[in-house]
Amino acid sequence: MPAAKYSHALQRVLDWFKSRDMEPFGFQKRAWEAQLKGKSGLIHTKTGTGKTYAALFGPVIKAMSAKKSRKRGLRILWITPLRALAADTLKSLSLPVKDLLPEWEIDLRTADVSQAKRVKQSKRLPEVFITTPESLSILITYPNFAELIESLEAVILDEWHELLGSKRGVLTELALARVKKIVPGVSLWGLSATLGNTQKALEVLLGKDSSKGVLIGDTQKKEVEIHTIVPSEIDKFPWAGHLGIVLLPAVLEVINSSRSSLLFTNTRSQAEIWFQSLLDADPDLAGQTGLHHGSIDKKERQAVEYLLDQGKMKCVVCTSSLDLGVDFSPVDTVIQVGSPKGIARLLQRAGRSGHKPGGVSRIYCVPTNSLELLEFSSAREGIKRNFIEPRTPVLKPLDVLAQHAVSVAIGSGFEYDDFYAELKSSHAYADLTKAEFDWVIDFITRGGPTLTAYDDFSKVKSEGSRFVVTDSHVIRRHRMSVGTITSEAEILVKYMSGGRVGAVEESFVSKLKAGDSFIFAGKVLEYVKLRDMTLYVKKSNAQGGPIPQWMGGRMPLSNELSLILRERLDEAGRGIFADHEMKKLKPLIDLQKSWSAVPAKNKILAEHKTDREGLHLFIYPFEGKLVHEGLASLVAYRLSQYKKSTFTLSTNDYGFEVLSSEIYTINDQVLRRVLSTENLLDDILLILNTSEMAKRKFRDIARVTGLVFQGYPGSGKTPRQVQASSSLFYEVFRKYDPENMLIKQAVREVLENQLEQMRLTSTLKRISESELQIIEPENFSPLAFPLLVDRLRETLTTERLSERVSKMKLRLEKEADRKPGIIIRRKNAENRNK
Amino acid sequence: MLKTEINNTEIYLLPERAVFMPDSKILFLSDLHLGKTTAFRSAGISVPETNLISDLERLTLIINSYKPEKMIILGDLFHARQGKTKAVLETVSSWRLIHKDLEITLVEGNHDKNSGKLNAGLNITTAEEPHLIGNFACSHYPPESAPEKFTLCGHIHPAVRLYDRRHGSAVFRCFHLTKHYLLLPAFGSFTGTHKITPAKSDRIFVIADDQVLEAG
Repeated sequence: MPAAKYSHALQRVLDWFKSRDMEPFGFQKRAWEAQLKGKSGLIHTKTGTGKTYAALFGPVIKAMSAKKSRKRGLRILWITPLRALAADTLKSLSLPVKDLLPEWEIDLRTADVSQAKRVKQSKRLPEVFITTPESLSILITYPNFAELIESLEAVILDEWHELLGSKRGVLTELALARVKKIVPGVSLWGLSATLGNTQKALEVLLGKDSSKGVLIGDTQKKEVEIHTIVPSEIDKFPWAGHLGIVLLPAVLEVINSSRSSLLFTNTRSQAEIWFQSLLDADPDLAGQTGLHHGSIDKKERQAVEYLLDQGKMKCVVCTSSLDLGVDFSPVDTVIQVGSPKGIARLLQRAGRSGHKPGGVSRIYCVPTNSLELLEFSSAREGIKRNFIEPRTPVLKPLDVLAQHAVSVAIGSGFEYDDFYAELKSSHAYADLTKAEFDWVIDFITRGGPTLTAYDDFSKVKSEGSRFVVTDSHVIRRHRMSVGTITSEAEILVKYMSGGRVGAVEESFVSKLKAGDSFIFAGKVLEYVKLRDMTLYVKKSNAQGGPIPQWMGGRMPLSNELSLILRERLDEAGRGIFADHEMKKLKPLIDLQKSWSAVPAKNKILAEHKTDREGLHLFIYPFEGKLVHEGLASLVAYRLSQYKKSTFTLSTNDYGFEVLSSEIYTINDQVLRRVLSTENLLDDILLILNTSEMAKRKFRDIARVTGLVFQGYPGSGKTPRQVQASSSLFYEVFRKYDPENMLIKQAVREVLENQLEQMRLTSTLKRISESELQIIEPENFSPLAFPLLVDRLRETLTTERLSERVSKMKLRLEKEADRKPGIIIRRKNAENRNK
Repeated sequence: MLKTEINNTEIYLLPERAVFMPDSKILFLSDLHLGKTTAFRSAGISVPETNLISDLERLTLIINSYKPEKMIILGDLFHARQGKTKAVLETVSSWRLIHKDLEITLVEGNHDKNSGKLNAGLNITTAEEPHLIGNFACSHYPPESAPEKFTLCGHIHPAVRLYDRRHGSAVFRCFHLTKHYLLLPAFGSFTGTHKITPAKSDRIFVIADDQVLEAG
């Protein structure tokens, strides 16, 4: 155990635990010991096992053992990925801190904190300071940032696995590099859920110092029970239509036999639908059922969380918004609607229940289409094999670097060489070349090609070898747009009488007009007026209406889960049905077998069929939606090498459909050629030039670099004369500044994240080693059906716009065809407003 | 190029985003937004400003091909005061010198009113809307009710999305012809678009590469 000088403080901590009927776990004590030795590291355990206290007490014991009368100021910087978690973290840290170090101050800062408090915090930070990566970035823009953090002892990165693998993680890495540069002796501790690559997570956290870091894991096992609610009859044409609502009676039974349950859905729209349906089915649930998702106003979410914590909620319908954070001890059951798409996510969600040492986590899975039975069966097998997905860190995004460089230039300013070395000390930019660094410097100081050498561009200025920002407009605008979380333009929803309801996407509001009713945040609301990015509403008496849909956020099936899924199908094709989920799927599998074939492990199934729409080609690699998007584009592009054509593409986690206006011969030779690994990168780069993918990625990049500035919902307008869409920037860069590295980054991001290039390559390799099973079925098979009916299709063309347009029936797309979301009607509307 | 007739007058709809009347030799265009990228740059937003030169070159090409005697700009010649830097004004002035015999009238749009006075050296006459010329009225804003004369107008930056199950969908800049007015696409390359909802009786001409085609 720790050196003698800490033994007195340690004893007091142990007494404190005892006074609360607790005892520290082994891994917590090991973490304190490492912290007291001045080490940095990563603490990784399953959800809800006491990571917070594992990280807190090291620095606390240290402070308790130090001589009194030390200078006031920041000692522990606690970084949390979600604003919503900051308040809960404050609560759980305050308890021991107030008891053991009563002279310490503890506070938080997020985008929600008042201006007065911010001003106070800009002069001196409390001893324990809880904040988000974005707010930390804003602190960096303060000229006195170095003074504010000079007494810092430890930085704790909560839920590090959430940040890892995202640009927010990179922003955090850059902030940490800055902090370490100012306070070289600071110790860094990450807290993470179980990951497939904990070692990597440690390396990313510590950058060039990672060899000295320690990994502390929890050996105690938590028991997980996974049940599936199996429908009595399965749908032989599995398409995501009925959303699992048919299983409502069985779900109600689970809710009613549990003390308190969380019902997770994969999308916010689904959460709205389930919430309505539960109340319709069982009016007794009114008042003890809550709705919780990221677009609902914070106050309302906090109210739900409070009631949940008090044990006053029978059920809360939620999305990933409740994946993280404090545990609600009354919760004894978790219900997962739809496939979790990954083994780690299912485990994480299951871990939200039975949150007591030794407690059992119980999760009930509800399929929203019959093939999800296959995914649940595979996920359970994955957990059994401890097959947890890794998180891949993001490398060298130049947009985040450009943003951070401006932040630092606004704050203390930077010297060219120093700053380059500081960046290279982080994991993300360890390989940053001088050329890339110079490009970023040029981008923020000179701003790309100009008409003349004398130019008005003003952002970062160089004063000798120092780079600084002096223009107050630039500073204000930058502070407003710091951060990397990007989303669709959002419209704030407010009652006429005051009070926020939440936020919905602009595209949804644009399809509504004054007087229309819609369902949001579990209420029927009437559109009154739209002003300055705010939609004013009042309660509606209508029986129902459309539910907003939010873009994005659909997770692809993970690599680990796909692997097991292919094994399961292979078994089923050979007549082996491993568990009751698979047995239930037998009729569907039999139908697939008799109309086409069941994909076997060493074979790749391809189906093709020509009808009046053109040639439909279906291929089923079972590698997740993203990989299939890449494959579909590749197949379409390569087919077009035989003859130019326009294709519409449809993809899901199991396979893809290429629908071509030209008819091609499909045989083994042709398919081998369009699925070959040869010229892969060149072909993909050509595809990217003709597709919208890179343009869409550029949307985020344009926001991160501050090209596009949307302000915050409700905060009013930005000057009209400097507003342009990211696609306009994309076009103008491509045309007039083709060497622009942000464009190149967009392409790289598509390759790495969107198309999962690595996984794409390995998939093509697997295909080349497999037998191709090519079938021309008379009817579209059960596997083909969901692809066929998918309305969200991508277009890929090798024809010129004018060639294409001359063949197209020049039909205007009717707005009426594009419904503003799913419309639902409520049966027991009167019960709602009780 | 697509030839059609409005108001008993032949017009050419040019894929370079302009309208030419062969009889009266008038060229119409709208929403150039010159100096827009420069205005962005002065606000600290990095964007190349070289599109100004290529936009003016495109205009020169049209002038050389159709040899108009008169050019009418339906508003928004310059984007903003911040974009009228010395470099931008010099570039536009030297372009004007090449076409010094061309008579140019600007029907002032909302951006012109906030961009300050036009330099005398540019030799551009300004006019308030509606600016009457023969059988036609020229204005920046599309008329809200039936105008006295058929109107040529801009401001909207019109575009439509075309859709076909077999060929997918795409957005096109377009000319929008109604009973009362012809709405022109924005000429400037660094301009956004607004998707319009045409009425059944309206005609839509989309710009696809170097062609103008009528949508049905």
